[in-house]
Amino acid sequence: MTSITKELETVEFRERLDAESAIPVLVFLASGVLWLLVGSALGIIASIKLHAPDWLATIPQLTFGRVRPAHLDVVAYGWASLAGVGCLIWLTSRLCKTPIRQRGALIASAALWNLGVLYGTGAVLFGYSQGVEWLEYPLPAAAIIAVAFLLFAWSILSTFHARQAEHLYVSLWYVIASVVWFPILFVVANLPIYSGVEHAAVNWWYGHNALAIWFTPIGLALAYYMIPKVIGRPIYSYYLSLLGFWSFALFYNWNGIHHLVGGPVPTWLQTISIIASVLMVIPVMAVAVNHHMTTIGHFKLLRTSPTLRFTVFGAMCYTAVSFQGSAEALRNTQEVVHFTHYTVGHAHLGVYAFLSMILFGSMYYIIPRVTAWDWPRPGAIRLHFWLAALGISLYFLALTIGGWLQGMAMNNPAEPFVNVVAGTRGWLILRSIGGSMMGLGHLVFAFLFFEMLWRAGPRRGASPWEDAK
Amino acid sequence: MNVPPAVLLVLGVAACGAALALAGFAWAAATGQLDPSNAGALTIFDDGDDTPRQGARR
Amino acid sequence: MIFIRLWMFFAGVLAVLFLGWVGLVGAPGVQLAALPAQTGLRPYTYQQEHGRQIYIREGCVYCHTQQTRPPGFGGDQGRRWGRPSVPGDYVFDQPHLLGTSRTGPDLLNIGARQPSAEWHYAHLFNPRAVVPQSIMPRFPWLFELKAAADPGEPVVDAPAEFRPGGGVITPTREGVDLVEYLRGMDRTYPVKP
Ligand code: HEC
Repeated sequence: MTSITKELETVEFRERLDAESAIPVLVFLASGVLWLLVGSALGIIASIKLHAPDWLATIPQLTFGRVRPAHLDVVAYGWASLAGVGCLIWLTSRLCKTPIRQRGALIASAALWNLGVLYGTGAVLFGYSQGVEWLEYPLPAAAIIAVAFLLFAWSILSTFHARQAEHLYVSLWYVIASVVWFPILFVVANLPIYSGVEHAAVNWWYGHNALAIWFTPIGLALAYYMIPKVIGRPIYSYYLSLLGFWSFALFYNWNGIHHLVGGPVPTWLQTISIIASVLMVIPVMAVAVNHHMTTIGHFKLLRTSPTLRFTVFGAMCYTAVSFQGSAEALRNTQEVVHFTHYTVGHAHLGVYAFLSMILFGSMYYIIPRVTAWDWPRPGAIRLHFWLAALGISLYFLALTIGGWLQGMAMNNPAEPFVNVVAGTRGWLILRSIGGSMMGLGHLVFAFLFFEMLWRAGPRRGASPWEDAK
Repeated sequence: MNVPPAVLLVLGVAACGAALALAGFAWAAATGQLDPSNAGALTIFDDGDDTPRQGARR
Repeated sequence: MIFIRLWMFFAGVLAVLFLGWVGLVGAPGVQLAALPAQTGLRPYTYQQEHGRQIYIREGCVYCHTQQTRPPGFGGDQGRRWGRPSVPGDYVFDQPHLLGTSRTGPDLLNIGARQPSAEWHYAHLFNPRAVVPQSIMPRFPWLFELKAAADPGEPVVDAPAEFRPGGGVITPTREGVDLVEYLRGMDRTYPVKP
């Protein structure tokens, strides 16, 4: 072993890496947390309006049809993307064993990204939406975000280029692939050249790929790192993770048109996406075996490690949401659930129960390491977990059951449409309760997060956690 | 039955892609580039960050 | 290691994205471009196009689809929402508004189903005045309260509680154009093969 590798394995070196990524990481994470609060508020308002339509009914900016897309855009491009980027910066530096490069570009990226989300969301609320789901932001806002993403990609790829690690760990494959994929996807989908049914195809090629090649890789990269790292046990089968990665890359790209099953797009196209959705079982099994077989036998650690508690919850939900997705894409299922609230439940199982929970878990791990301070109030962290976990469970169950019943009723022409509408009311109220619990959890989390930045906790090393064992 | 040309195109492209991927995999395996050992999975543990063995469990 | 040669990794990553694009966007694009517009379909008038912009602005698409499913697939045919829609029905739609949610009914043929402008005004002003159990938002900013209507101007049939101090409620230009758009939504012409 050479002396250089020896140096790379010292605690001091790792602490230096963490310290050098601190500022960009914290800037991105703080932005993400602020957008999480905004996004939660918008989501709760939209949810309540579906059972109390006369609430805030005279304010145009707060009508359901504007708040609902604003919620999606804020949590996707604000919360999940910004918090995800913050985590990926830290992870890339660690896995490449070299300080993060282009830190100036990262700060510029964060500034632009926030500007883009602010502008885009303002535009949606004030009536300047493009009117396309997932692509509501007007072109200038989308362009700002694209530039911000390229700056981030530049930093990641320069760091990768300067890597000192000999081995490229599986998480890094997902990170590198997604920073190459997403900007291409985002730009191509935003081009103002499509119309009619072709536009619908582009819309869902993008909409599903935003999950496939940006949000899911973030979650998987982090889970592949956090679970083995905290447990102190390597991934169950590294070979399998390779199969998982490439089959994921091959099949996930083809899923988009399952959002148009039964619609006016060519049937062969729908069929291809349905097949690809079912094929997703392969990468999902690979990831599931790796994550769960690594965790198994160590469930006791979930009690002491918030990172593991959130991340394992997220990884389990990844398995669940993916199998659900494969089954949901089938024609028979689509016939019932396509246009119902069931789909909304599925989406939240993915972006919240899987991705956001893993982001929370990772942030609990990363922030003490970049600030060298420790979390205050273990009790509040537990409260955050239970509000989020129970909130999303209630949310998901309410919309899954309610949405299924809605679909069954809607497919029965003898049932007057108003009865279909009235039948969803109770389930929508339950959803608002679940959503509000999640929102409360976010308040707790944001409070803890900003306390951390003000250094309210104990200095790292003198942590209450050690005693609480 | 008349098959739209686009279907043939897609099937063709997909078949070529799959064939390429398979060939790539076979080649990589044959030339010993895929490491079937679990060694790669251990590489994240060489930085002295606390794992349960070292006490702090977060 | 992924593959020993890094360029292969990047080539693979780019190739899968490109393949997906070819399959889901490129190929159907070629096929769809070859399909003509349906003969019964007329381009939107200026007024209807403006109404369509209001439809987009208010996010009607988050509760209403504009696509009708074939027989044997869902209840569309039984509900008489219109024959299955085909790509040629949408050639003038930019952006597309196919939608993904049916919190409210499909609107592809609402003009044929509900031709009455008065009905639409009353419904948009306050859906619950027309359908008591509706959860559709009201859109009061598409209307104004006036002392008296201009000659020929439509008046909304609204209860007195919405007209403090008397007067009448009339649609703004945005309201009028939105309803023109809705009334023009009619794809009941026969499909040309
Ligand atoms: C929160 C979801 C929601 C939004 C947003 C919404 N609607 Fe509705 N809409 C409904 C529901 C539910 C019904 C069925 C009950 C009723 O007729 O009011 C409905 C019914 C309708 C109908 C009558 C359909 C029929 O077959 O009788 C029309 C027309 C309509 N909406 C137009 C619009 C327009 C135009 C907009 C945007 C300005 C809009 N809706 C926005 C939920 C919504």
